[in-house]
Amino acid sequence: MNEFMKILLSLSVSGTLLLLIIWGLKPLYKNIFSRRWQYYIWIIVALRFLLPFTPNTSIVGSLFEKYHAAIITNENSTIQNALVSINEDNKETESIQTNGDIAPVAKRESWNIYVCLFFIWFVLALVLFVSKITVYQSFIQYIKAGNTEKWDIKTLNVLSDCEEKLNMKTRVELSYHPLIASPIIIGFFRPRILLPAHKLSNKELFYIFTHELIHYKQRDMFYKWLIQIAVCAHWFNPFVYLLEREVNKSCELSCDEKVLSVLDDKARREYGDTLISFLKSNNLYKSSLASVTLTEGAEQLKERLGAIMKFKKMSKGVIVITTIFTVAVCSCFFVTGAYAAPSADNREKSFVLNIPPNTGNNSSYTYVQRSYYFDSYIIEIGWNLSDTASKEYANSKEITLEDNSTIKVFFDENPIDYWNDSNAISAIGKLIYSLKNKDIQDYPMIDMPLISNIIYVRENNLSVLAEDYFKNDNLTEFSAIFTALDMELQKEYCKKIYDDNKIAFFSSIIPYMNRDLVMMYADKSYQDQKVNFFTVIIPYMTENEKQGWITKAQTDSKNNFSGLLSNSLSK
Amino acid sequence: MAQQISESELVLMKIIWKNGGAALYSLIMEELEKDKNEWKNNTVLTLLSRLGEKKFLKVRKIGRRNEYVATVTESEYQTMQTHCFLDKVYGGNVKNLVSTLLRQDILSADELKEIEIFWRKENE
Repeated sequence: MNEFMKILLSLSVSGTLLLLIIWGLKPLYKNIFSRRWQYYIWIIVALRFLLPFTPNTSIVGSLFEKYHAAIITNENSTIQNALVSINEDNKETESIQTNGDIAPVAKRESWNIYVCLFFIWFVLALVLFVSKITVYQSFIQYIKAGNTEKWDIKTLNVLSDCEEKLNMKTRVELSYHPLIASPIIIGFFRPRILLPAHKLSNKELFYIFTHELIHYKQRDMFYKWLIQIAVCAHWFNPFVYLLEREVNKSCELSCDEKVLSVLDDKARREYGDTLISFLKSNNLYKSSLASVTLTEGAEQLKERLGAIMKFKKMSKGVIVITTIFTVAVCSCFFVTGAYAAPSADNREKSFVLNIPPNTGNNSSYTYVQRSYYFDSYIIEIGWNLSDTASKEYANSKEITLEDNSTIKVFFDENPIDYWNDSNAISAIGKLIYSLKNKDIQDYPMIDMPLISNIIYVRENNLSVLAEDYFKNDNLTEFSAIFTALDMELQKEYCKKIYDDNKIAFFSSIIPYMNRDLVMMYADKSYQDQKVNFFTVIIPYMTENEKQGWITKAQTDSKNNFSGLLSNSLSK
Repeated sequence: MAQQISESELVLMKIIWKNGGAALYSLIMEELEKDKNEWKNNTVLTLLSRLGEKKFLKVRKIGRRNEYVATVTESEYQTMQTHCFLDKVYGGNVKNLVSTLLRQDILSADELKEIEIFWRKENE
């Protein structure tokens, strides 16, 4: 939802930018470019408002990503702070890696705000849209109730002439309605022209029909509804109403222009007269919403009449300029772009669970907790328990390791059942021994271990169990047995996790992943712009690798990546 | 049937009935020209499609050409219209209708006698 709101907002910003560019340049092209162009150019703006389609780097996109990266780094640092404070406190021994509850408390608040915002947006957009449809439908109903089919041959013949003149493929129905003042065309696929009841001369009819048929030919109904959808989706953006106004205005102007292009000078004057005659009569039912009327108000009519007087055909030079301008606008469409979601629906979790291992220095203060699978037991083990914290745990046991050294192991309440299970104890011993002799990714050496949980697993159903844990989002258990799965299955899960954007899973299995595999996903997430995955991988890179990536990100101008990387460099 | 055929539509129906209840578009146009009616293509098509919507006509495809087939005969239509007229204007009362016809000399006394004789014979 968070992502959705961001995309929506970025579209709004992007659309507004493009709108302002075109609107701002209006004085330049107003009297030069064709009215038709001035009408259709708004489609690009409308689409910019609606389509979350964006190139890799775009103004609005990078704007949002920068903002985003800032948040990510903030979040990471707060989590790390939390980690440190826990260690200093030395009382809190709760698992950090497995327990995602610490940070979400802070996150939940902002998440709630997003849900609220989304809800408000959605309800208003829906209400707006439904009301627009209802108004339109009641208008159509009203029309249908009082409309009578026109059958006199003369009028039908005029319509037929107009259709032929404009090469219409669809036949248009003709009715009259006693309660409308101005001719109107309705219907998307089966158009129908409605005439007011009063008598009209054949000349007037000819102009009216030509005008209305051109509305149909221009697909104005679809255009107007496209704009209405944009208005509903961006109801909070005042500029979208400017767009609506501009489109409605330029729609009539463009239509007039097309009509004039088939008329001679004398006919032009008569066309203007016809427009005026309809302004004189009052509209009895006023609904200009997404239906196309002949006249829409005095102020606008003045502009239309002005355009009629000034009407001239376009010269070649103007066509060239128009084309260049259009290309420019289209490229603006792409450049302004939008915010592309890193396509992670559960990114809420991601930054919480992603806790980079501490690198070196004050390592002795860091409590680390992991789950391992060893000799049919899933063992949750933590180490570097502080002296004060260790006093909280009454149960401890000396375990002799393979090299005959002994270590004192503390037990939490959960695994106390296994206290006397010699198999479990020996498994713990083996695990600690192997941990001691293996350099595990910069984590501090094993000291003061605490067993916080043990689960017994029958070996033969390991893969079934893995699937089970995977399905039920049991991160800890899943990551524990992950290493025990065979390599192919591991790769398969990695792929699944990556493709489904299960970032939480990814961050919990990454310590157990083969290093080549990790680096492969670094590459992949970089290519796919999955910032969240990349962020998780960063702590597992050497300083040299990080430097390499920074250079790469800078040359590709992926600012969000390079920003994250340079933040992660140790000072 | 509440649907009414408009005056222009009736012209087309009459052509189709005259032709035995079915007619190709080209034939309809020819007939219209003979009567010196200047009907445009689309005008005719619009009227035909309205008749189709009202279910007075059916369209049959013959190759790429359309043949229009009447779903009611002329006499059926006349009966229908008469009933309709009777109901609307005379409230279903035939006597009133006949008396109007007589009063206006639309029906002569001789003709009435003729009808009477016809009526008796029919009922014997």
